[in-house]
Amino acid sequence: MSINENYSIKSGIYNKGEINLERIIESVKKSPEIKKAGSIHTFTGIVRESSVNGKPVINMKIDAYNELANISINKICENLKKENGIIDIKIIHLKGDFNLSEDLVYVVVASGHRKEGFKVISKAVDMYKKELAVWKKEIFSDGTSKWIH
Amino acid sequence: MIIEILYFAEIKEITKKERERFQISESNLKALLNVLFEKYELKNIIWDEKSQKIHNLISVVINNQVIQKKDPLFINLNDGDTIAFLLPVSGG
Repeated sequence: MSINENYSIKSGIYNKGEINLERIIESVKKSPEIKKAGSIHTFTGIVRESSVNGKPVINMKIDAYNELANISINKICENLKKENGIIDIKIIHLKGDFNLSEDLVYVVVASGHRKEGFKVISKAVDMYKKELAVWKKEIFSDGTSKWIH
Repeated sequence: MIIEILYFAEIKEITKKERERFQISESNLKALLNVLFEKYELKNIIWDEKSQKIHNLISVVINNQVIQKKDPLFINLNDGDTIAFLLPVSGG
């Protein structure tokens, strides 16, 4: 994805290091309707030190089908923007190789009131996890690894 | 007919490529899979021996559109189509 100097950041798949949360929030604050917002909500998905079954994780790899994932991300954002009180929403999923605690995903929602924002950011996370053509591989401390499905 | 396949996740690791073009003589997915399985050890991931169909966990994508047909084996392909076989997703 590309980023221009006017902070017009598009939702989508980005390579690790291409973007950070601060720049996404700045972009949301440039939304034409931002003066109607009373809150900005953010979600950051990061690399956890253990898999769901407790196996120690040391690194993570994220692969993505950019074109397809970008179509899905835009659909999710378009649908959620129609929800009551939602001013803007951005979903950014990173791809590449990640260390523990590094950022993987950002969801930023601007809403008129906080309750609307909390509700929609939770929905957005559920939706991207289910719908995006993105895959993660956990690399374990014992030298093995596994793609998660 | 030339068809391009995009590879992701485990499938990319097996082929060691992001994308690849194949020449096929018949214009359907079955012909493409035959060529693919001859070249790479992918049959156990993509193919369900029991039902003799593409595994129901695999999503078939043609030109960035997910195919909804339950059995897409004999779906018609066109020269220049881009195909992907996707395993279930797992966002971060």
